[in-house]
Amino acid sequence: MALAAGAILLMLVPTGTGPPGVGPGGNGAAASGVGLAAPSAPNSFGGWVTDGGSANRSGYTPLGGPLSVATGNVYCPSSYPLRTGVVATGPLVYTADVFGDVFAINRTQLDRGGGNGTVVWRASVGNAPTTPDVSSGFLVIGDADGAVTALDLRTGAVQWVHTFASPVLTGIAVVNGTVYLGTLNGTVAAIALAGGRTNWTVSAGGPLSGAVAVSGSRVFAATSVGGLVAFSAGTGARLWNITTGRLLSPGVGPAVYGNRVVLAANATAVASYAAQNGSLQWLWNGAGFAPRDRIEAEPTLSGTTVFVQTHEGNLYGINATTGILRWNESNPQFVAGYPVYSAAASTPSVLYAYDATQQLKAISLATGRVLWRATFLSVSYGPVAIDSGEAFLADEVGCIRVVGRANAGIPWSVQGTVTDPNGTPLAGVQIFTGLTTNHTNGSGGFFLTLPNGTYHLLFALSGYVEVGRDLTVVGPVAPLVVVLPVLTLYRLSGTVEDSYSGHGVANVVVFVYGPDLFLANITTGTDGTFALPVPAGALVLSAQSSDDHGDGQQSFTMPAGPFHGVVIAVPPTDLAIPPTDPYDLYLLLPFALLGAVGTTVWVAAARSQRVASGLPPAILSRFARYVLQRAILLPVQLLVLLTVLYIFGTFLPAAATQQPVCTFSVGQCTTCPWSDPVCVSKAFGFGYQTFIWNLFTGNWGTASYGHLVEPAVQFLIWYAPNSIELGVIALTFSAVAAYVLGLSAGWQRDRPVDTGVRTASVVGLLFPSFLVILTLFTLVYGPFLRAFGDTPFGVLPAPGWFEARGSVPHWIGIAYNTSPTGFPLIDAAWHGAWAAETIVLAKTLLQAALIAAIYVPVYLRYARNAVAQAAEEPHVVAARARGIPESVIRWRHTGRRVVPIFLLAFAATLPLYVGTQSLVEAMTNDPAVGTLLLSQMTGFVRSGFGFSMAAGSSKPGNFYQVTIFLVVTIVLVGSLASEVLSRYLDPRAARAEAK
Amino acid sequence: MSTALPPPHQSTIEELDAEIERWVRPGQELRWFFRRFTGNPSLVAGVAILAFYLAAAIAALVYFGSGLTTPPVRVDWAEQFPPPGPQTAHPFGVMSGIGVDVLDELARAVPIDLAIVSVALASAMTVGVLLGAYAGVRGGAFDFWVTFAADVGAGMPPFFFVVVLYAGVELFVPPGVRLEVFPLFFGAVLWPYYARPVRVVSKQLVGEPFVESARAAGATRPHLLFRHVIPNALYPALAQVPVDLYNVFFVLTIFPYLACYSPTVYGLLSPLPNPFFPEWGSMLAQGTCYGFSIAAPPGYWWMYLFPAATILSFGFGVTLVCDGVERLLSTRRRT
Repeated sequence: MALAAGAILLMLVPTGTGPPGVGPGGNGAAASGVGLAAPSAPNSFGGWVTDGGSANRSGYTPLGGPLSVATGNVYCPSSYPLRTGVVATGPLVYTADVFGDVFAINRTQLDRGGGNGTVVWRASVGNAPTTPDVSSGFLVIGDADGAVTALDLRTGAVQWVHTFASPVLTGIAVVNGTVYLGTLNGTVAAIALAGGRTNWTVSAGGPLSGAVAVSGSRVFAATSVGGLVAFSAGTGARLWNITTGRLLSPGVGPAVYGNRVVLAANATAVASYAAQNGSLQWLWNGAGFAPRDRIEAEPTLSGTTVFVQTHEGNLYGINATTGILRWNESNPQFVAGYPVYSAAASTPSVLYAYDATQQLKAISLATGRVLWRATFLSVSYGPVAIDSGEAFLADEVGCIRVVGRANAGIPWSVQGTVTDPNGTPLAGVQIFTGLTTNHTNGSGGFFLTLPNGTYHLLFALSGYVEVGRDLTVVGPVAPLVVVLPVLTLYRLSGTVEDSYSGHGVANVVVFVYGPDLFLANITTGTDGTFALPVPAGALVLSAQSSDDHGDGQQSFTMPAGPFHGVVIAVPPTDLAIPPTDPYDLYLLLPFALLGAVGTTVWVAAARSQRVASGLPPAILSRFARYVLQRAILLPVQLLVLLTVLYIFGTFLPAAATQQPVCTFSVGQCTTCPWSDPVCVSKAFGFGYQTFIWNLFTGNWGTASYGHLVEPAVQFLIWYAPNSIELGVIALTFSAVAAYVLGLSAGWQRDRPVDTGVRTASVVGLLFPSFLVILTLFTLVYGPFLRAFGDTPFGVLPAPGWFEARGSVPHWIGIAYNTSPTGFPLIDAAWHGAWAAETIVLAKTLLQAALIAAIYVPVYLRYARNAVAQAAEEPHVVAARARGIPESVIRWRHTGRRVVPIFLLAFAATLPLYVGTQSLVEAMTNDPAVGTLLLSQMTGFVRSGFGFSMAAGSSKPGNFYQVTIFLVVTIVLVGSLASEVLSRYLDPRAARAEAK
Repeated sequence: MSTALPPPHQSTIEELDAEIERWVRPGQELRWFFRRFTGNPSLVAGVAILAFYLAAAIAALVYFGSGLTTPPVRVDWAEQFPPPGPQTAHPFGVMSGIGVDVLDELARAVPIDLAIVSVALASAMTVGVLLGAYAGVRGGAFDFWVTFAADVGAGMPPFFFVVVLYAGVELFVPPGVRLEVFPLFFGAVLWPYYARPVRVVSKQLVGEPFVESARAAGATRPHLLFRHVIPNALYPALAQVPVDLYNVFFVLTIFPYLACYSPTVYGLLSPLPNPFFPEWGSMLAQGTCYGFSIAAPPGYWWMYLFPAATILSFGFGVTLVCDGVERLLSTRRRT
């Protein structure tokens, strides 16, 4: 739950990554596209994609052509970082540095590299300003002090200032004379451009994750806890709101694209929602991301492609209609220490992105191919800006770099014809240049204009093999003759298999891609097989999103002939895995029987021998018998509890809704109506058997958490050491506090110590625990940040903390786990990372203190009474009569006596302890088992607990079932151990019971 | 001729009790109790607090009548920024997000929360104490199975268990009465926490001389149970009540808190029919959700502080009463 309660907290504050005060995404408000745009919406100008509805933050230019690789001059207006990017209109460009100095710069001078009169005017606004908007005849800019300022474009004179209580988030959109903006604390506002009067102010219901986006008559805002809200642009009325169920990355707001709202739904996923009503259209999960890679900027949109740029400089192009990955452009030259914060800019056919290699790349939208690169060797956090044939990049040392001017506007004509192998001209062939898309005319001819540069032309027509041509344009080009071979399709058949059991999986959609293009898709049949015609050559087969399986991919070279037997494996995502062979169990039965008979015979023989020797017949001591009895009962208790969970979590909800249930045989689901009681009971019986069998035998399947899909055991290996480490420290902490306080309070009832402890215990007990955590965190947050340079969230320092000191060390793994032992405290010390060790220790102690603050009051309720009784025991009275000092009696005589009772109290409160540690882990965003458990709690409530196949559409993550199984086991074993230890220390408890 | 003597009179336990009653002067017991009561200031304070809440509940029922659960919701408040804080017309301020007056909503919630807490705790305590005490007195197979069931029931964090059970049955319950049914699940989940300690104490009590002698005097098992064992084995159960109050409010608070941004999820996670329904836990959750800020503490403090203070003072009253009664009983135990 996704929740996850803890990560909610995390999102309330900026994380350690990224420059403070400025969202790493930089360009703020969202882009809207051509193609699907509503005619009235200011989504595009002259075919150029706009940014947040603002024409001047687009690449629109009536003057120049597409950019060329030539780099222009550099001019540095400031000595401080420029993170707002550059916007241009008319003869001036505008930018602002992090301290709020706004510069208007003469473009002609800028192209020459500066000189007198380059800065036309400068003005001052608050710290960490947003990207300015200059589309409306005014320069409108917001800042972290909460002010929105409108300045005259030519003189910089302040027209009006409007102040909000909270920082204005990056990106302001000015549409139809109205300024739309969002603030950190969740306010969305519309201000009239004329006069600065507020038209309306509404709350989005939580802190915003990034800037608002405007499209047509709607304003969209995303909250950091995953809410997406649409307001009426005219009145501010809330049109709809949904919860995405995911926590959003800070600084990343929604992007609007005609009738869709695209949101980087968390660090690794992108989702598309209908602008009309917020219904989910598709969700793309970047499960293939490299370790620690994440999305830190808004998706950019153009044509029918959504682009995602990740922290480590990888680019993904996703089909905006289907949500299927078109291409990715992995950056092989990634240089550690130069993270990518710049948001990309795009034209309808080319994306301009500044990446980790410090190069500006022009990338073809159709194919993902890099058209050219321009090297800047400069760190930039601002967005790339394009205007009138130039691209601008504002960097961290206060400089603006220009690219593209030199060759802009000198196009050469390229013409030619496209024919089939027989020489027949082909009409309607699509020609992708990377800059434009053209078609051949009726006689197969085409005519293009291309500026100097290197191109990869693609010629594509349905029924023919796609042909590529490399072309370098430096002058006139000879006519091209392109022959498209006829596409011959061959039958390809194969199976989608469950990677765990090898059974076929039904209803999986298999997408087939050629080297550049999507070719076809098909759905698997009930036995998991599929067959379709495909061309020869390299293919990628991608199996996606069946209900209870993850995605799978298979690269494959299709021969020039039919091919049979390609296999795509997909990992199962819940416990709906039949036992490898359920009959293994029955093979064990004879051995079990043999063992039982053998033991009985042996016990009987031993007893009679003891009687014969005049000893009491019992072989084991009373204590040993008690331990044995409880140990035998334990699995039975576990079984009963799991049965209850199965009945209430799976059977009853399904019975109430009367949803058809699955009868499960070899990987396929045949539905079974409730009117057929025999079939239904078979389904649930088999479901129950599989559920229990899998849990007890460790067949825990594959789980998905965040962007990771791994065996459930792997998650436990990653996260359990952290929980154990915290548990040990927190329990020690709590035990010492509870022992000292309990003994002192119970020893002298109604004295100040007792009254104080009782009052504190009642307050601590009744004050809702999440509010205790929130309050303590608020108190600690600032001092912690100042002392360590890191927020108190998590247990390891945040990635940004490491990056500020080099890079994230090699001993931190892909799940932010540590190696070699998995215990963060030990591993940090192992690698001599003492600064990190200090932070880990401080965070662990903080969490332990939080746990103690909640758990100790509960515990004291039990412990205090026990002490009062122990203080009246005969041995204490006798000691007192002998004149032994009170402090000795208290700490030695009574202190020892209460240990067994305290252990019993611990056994009684263990479930509460486990719940408390889970809550603290989750709310402090600690990557630990409790976080996983609670984050899936909301998921559980929605989907039911248990074996999902029986409950129709109920599909809980199986990791939930595994963790709850472990929690119950821990509680039962822990209670048993505490009770046994208590009896061992104080046999009187056993004797009292024996009476 | 000798006439047969009537058989010697064998006093029943009831007659012995009646004999004792005759020796006690009329009203003495009452006076004794009153003296004990007034000599126990925390008990007096606790009773006063609970009496205040009871009076407030009755007043709310009378004043609001049938409109109790439908507070006036003002849409302009829900989206007003910043939300109105405490002022003369709204002494506890206004809760944004749901758009209600905090004081009005808190007052409406008094009878509702009192009912939820009483039903939840009374059902858990009745079941737990009866089963635990009887298992302790009777022993044998009954004791074994009660202990087994209690150990199973206490094998999972109670707040989670309540939700599991409720989720299983929820769909069978008509929406109108879900809130009435919901507290009973606390009874089903929390009883082991009463039964286990009560059983241990009653097992010890069975061996005590006064119980032995009552048994020797022919006391029946119910008499032993209700007259001798339960009153003396009640104290661990009383110590448990505040802990369970914590459990009840934890469930009432944490799920609305997790769901407060989304009305759709709210309906799935809470037995309350809507977010405006007056209930302290839900108010606290939404107040924290809309009003708490780590970035700029204390945020809109009135939204979460007043509901928290209400829960806290009520819980304080319950705790004082439980501790006071426990002390009263323990004094009796020693005399």
